[in-house]
Amino acid sequence: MKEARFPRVMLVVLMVFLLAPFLIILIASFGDNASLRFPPQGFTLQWFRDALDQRMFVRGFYLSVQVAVVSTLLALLLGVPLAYATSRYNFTGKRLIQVVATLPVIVPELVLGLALLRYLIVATNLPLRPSLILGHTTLLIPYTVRITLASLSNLPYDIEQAAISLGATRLETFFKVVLPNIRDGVLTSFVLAFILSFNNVPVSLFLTGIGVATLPIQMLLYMEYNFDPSIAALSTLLILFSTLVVFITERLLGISRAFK
Amino acid sequence: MAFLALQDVTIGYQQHTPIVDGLNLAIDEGELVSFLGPSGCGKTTTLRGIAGFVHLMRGSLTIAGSNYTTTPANKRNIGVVFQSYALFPHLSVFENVAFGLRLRRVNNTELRRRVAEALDMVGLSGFETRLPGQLSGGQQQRVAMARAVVIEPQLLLLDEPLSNLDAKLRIELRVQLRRVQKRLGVTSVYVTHDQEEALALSDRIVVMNAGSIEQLGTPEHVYQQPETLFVAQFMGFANQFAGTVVDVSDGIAYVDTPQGRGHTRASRGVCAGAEVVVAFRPTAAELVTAPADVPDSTLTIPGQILLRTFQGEDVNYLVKTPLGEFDVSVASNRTPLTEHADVMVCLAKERCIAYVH
Repeated sequence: MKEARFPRVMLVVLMVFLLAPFLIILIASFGDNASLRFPPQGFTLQWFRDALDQRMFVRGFYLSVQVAVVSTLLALLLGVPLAYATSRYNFTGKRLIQVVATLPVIVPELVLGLALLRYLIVATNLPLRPSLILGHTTLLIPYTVRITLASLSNLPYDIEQAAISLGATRLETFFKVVLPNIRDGVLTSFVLAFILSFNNVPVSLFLTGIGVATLPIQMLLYMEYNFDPSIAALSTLLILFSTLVVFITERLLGISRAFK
Repeated sequence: MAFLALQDVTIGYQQHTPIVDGLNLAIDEGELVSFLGPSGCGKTTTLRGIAGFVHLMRGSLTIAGSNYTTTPANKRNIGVVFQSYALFPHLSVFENVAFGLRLRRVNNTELRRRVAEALDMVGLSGFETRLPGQLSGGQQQRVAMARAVVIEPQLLLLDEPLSNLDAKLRIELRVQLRRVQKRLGVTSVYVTHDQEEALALSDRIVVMNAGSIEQLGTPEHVYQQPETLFVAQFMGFANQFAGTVVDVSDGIAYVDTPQGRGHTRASRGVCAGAEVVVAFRPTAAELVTAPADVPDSTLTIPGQILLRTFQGEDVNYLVKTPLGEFDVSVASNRTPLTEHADVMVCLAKERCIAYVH
């Protein structure tokens, strides 16, 4: 049993690294101190009430959900066909398209945000909300493209040709054969993209302004002047929300198969 | 009028480098024709061209008198069976077979009847609700077969359908496949690199090499009278030696070798003075030890046994001779010969063929 010891130690270290920050925040959010501290003293639910009472947080939450849903859908709508086209057709520049579609992952998000601010908002006077959605969509496309490409590579092209030989058009083949078989990949990218957008700070930072700020930005702004446990309480709620999103998707759509 | 006609068909994935070059072929209704050849010979590409999965760079394709050269693949009504089975993983056996019928908007009663009939034909009644992942390779290919024929295709294309299966199943399935094909009378093109499979299944065989047809004929014809050295090698003429033709008359070539003169069948283009390669099967030679036993053969070559391989029905001897190493097969009920023994290789008359080098 001696050789089993090292992996077990590694596992414990890993769990501590992954879970400790969450646990600290979770515990601190119940503390009875006026400022955030660990370990906390006393027990209160007051910070949760405070957090939910902040109108800026509630409005930020709604905006974040809205931006995340719309930009995730847009990223899927653009990313899935792009992945399909570049994996199934041969044309000049398809490698280039794949690289360009992945670029937003490589470019620092702050640079992306700044560029969008200067050349989108300032140059075209585009309102903040659509700018946010566009910015997030750009950010999410690499993920939807990459994950869809990975699912597609598991689906032999013979299967599509079989459908075509049986009389299906390209479009029918895509919806009746391709999509059902890459469903898990598409759902995975949906959840991943949603959470990435919902939690994003660097891009949102440049694309928000008076009255239009996502929840993470509101929290950042709040923390500049306040350092009470209500921010920890809010974080706890957000962790709960993200977990819930994953959990519900898994329950409804059986997404766990995609993570195999 | 041929049912399926390919005229000057040229197919390639890149400009100027055709994989199939100027192919002409006519297949009659109800026939099963095999495309036989090594990988890269263009047999699968030709099949894909007929299916409409690749465009023809040149030439034309006619099915039942209509021009299909530019018809999209989904409008051709051609059944295709793939080496990888290519079943729809997310659909049950029933829905896989029903796929083509649903696209044709066949009404429910008839759809059920036809799917049941097709599954019955391949011996898979009772498997309707299974998913492809729950079936063995052989069962999956039978579903694929049912799926391809249920749409009553005007043509059935099979792309190495048995290559992913083990030897025993392959033979079992090819018999079933042939029975289904004959029962439906559907004109079929069968791609394979397995000569035994092609011989067993086909009405006619097209032997292909480097994008063009080497020989076209019945299995018996291709097996007995390979027209080129390539076809001969593919048909099991494993042994060959070089010689010079002295004279040709009545289809018999008289060939000089350093070991004497022999006569062989002459293939096309063999004439006096030509440098030729003479090819023969392992079964076309006899091995004798005493000069008195030499039969009336065309050519007797001295040699030494290098290796003996027992194969059940017969024994294979690898014999080293001045003309090269030969593989000779002898019935295993004959007196066995030992390795290193000196023997004489006696080539049977009429079973050697000379090809222009």
